[in-house]
Amino acid sequence: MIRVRGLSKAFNGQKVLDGLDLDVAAGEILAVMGPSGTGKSVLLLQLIGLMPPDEGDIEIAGVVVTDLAERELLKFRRQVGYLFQDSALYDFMTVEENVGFPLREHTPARPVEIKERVNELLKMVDMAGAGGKYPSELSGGMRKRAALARALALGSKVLLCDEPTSGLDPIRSRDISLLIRELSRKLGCTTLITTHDVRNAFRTADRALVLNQGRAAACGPENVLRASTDPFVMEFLE
Amino acid sequence: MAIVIMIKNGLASLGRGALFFMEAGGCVLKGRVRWGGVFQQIFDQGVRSLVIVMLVSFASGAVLALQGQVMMARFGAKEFIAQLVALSLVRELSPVFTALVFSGKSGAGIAAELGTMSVNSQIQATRTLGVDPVEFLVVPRMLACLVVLPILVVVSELVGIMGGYIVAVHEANIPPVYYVNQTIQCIGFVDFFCGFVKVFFFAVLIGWICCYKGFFTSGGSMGVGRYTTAAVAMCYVGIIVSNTLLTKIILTFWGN
Repeated sequence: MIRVRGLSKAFNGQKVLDGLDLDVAAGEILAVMGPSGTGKSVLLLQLIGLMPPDEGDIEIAGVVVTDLAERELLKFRRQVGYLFQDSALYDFMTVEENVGFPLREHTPARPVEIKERVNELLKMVDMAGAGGKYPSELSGGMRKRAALARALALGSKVLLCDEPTSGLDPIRSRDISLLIRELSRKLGCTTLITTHDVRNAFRTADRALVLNQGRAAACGPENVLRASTDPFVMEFLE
Repeated sequence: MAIVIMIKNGLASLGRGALFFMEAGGCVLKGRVRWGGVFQQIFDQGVRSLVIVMLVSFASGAVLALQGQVMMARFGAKEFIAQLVALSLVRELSPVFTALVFSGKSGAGIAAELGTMSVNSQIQATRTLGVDPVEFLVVPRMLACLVVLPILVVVSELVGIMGGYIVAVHEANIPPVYYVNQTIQCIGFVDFFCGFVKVFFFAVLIGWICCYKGFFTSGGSMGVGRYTTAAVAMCYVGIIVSNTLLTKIILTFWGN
């Protein structure tokens, strides 16, 4: 479903990603872990075509993202849900308007149908009844949930989550991690999460990849990573 | 060396700004305009600036009449206060003052709104949702500037003339009917036209600068403050400098 080959990106001569290869199977949940500044967010921005790579190819659901022009990218992005680290909800819209925004933009649905779908999505993320609130009236966890509902509004089969637990307390972090896992399974999404929260990464993902200096230091399920003898991986997981 | 770098950065910024303007213009030419958003912005921007524009204009008209009364009395031409007030406002003061006030209120609002959206990833989120942020956020604001500023200038001219009327009638004892007749007779199409050429130019300038600065804001909340201030300062300089050039061009072609 997601295939990355030889992905490289440098800023001011410093390599953030250095020939990264990555495969995520359809329906799989992969967590990309690593310390801050190891290129996790850069990887996600490149996957969705918001930042062009210096080298390498990205293929998502059979589409070579790196070959697309800006207008084609706008169309392609409708197939991918993206959850931002800071939620990125429009602060001039209510939760209901935020979640309904992609539906209004890209579907011929009538307002009544959009309202129904929005209520369904809000119920799915345990936010039924909060549709009339503005993002500023919500807690960090609720904003993430609302943003998750918006990311899934178009029924995308690929979900990219940038640090979904950052800024949340341990209980809310656990809840949002479990919610992402539950929804990915229920909707059959291929999900890629970037995080440095080891515990929640294993709670959510089928496999995890540890990035070190722009390269994959280790990749596999929890037991494989825990058995790694790579000093960096051992130290990071500790 | 520092000057060379400054010039290089300035030219690079101007180039990016030109590309941004062309992108927004391209949306309009291709008919990718969200009219609902445009009307919402017209309302927001108009409401933001209306009261302050009226206050400034009333005061400007009144001051013109007060000064005119003293100065023109020296030449025995007190009865020409109406012409002084009306022509000064229509040809010069209303377009410039209104544009300056509009930059400080609505322009700053545009830059701060877009800037906040930029630092909170809302502009990037628009792209991830498959929507062109220039079409969704920038074009409505720029088009609204083109509609709102001319309307505000007309309001400014009327309120300014009213300010002048009150002073002229009550302080300089000019007969009310005489003042009104003189005002109507002295303003020709060319005077109105001269002012409006400037207004449309200023509207494009304010919309462009404030949207551009806001759209590319970075550096968190500090950045929003810095970019917004820079946007307003650039508008002020742009309005005052371009007004000089436009006045010269207009007087060359339509001086009479």
